[in-house]
Amino acid sequence: MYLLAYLNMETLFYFISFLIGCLAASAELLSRYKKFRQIVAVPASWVYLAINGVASCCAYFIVAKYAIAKDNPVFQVLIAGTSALVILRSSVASIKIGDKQTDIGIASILQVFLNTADRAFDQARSESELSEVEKIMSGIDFEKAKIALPTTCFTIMKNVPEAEQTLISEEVNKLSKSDFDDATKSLNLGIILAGMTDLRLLKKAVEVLQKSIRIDSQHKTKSQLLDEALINLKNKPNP
Amino acid sequence: MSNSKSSFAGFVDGYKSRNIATIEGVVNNKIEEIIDFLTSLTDAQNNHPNFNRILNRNINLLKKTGQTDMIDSLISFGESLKSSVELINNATNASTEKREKMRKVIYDFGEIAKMTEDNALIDLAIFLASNFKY
Repeated sequence: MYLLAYLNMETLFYFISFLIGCLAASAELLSRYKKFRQIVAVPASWVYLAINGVASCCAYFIVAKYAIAKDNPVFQVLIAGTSALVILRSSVASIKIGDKQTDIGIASILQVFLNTADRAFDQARSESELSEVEKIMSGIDFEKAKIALPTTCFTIMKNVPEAEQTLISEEVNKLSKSDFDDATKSLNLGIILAGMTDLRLLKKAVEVLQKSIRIDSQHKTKSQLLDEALINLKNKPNP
Repeated sequence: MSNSKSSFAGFVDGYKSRNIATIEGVVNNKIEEIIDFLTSLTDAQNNHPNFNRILNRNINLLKKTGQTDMIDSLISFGESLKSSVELINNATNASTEKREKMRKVIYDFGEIAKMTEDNALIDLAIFLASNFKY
């Protein structure tokens, strides 16, 4: 009976160690991909979580075997969880190949799974989001929406860091100066915003703003009014 | 203490500064062009002294764009033109050459305003383009 209870406790500590590893990895993935739903949909993310969880279990095995902090099992679990995190992300050397810095160590193996998750995530996201964004942004005038739509999204979200907003503003500005047609610019604006916000929020923001940002809306931007004024000025006949 | 900065300030400020950075070279060329037109107008014959004074004031305002905030200097220039649009209309009315130069000045200013995407500048440019009598 005592052995059974000991085994159960032991299993519970392994399980907690596994969870600590998974939790740290999921925080890392969340910081990369922003959306939990999409992390769950990518198999490589599960492999990445599992590697971190198993590494924590291995670390707990070592901690328990060598009786490190043996009087305090909670401390043992914490040591196992955090040391696994450090070991998995460590590298013994850093070499430069061409212009690229490459780490040699366990971190580089983990990086392979992260890169696979990156690609799988991008693929899954682009497949599911592209057609949805196309629907949402169809009939939207880029010139009318390029400031109004991101501003509305950021105002609703409230917690988007300033640095991230600046990055998005640079992308929108580059898009604005590009030679693409208006429909392509609008679609890309939608893709940029969908990457930061959520499709439902983007859809809602477009619905709320549609009176002023649709191509067929009567609302004219100041830039369009200026265009008209300049054309009139250019075409004014000699008196 | 409340945070007075809006939740979208990073986007709007970033967009504006990125925009200024990309158009700065073209805008400076346009400003040089406007200065040339205004200088040649001051050299024209039979100018009213008030017209010359306004032209010189505007040339000086444009020359400040390199020293102070570009948008602020351009707004000052636009405001100065706006306040003297009647005088400009009267002064250029008699000469096709003067009118043509002034039209190019206002057109270039409008193009600058469009590039900067600054609402105050665009408002000024619309006013000038609509109120300049050709």
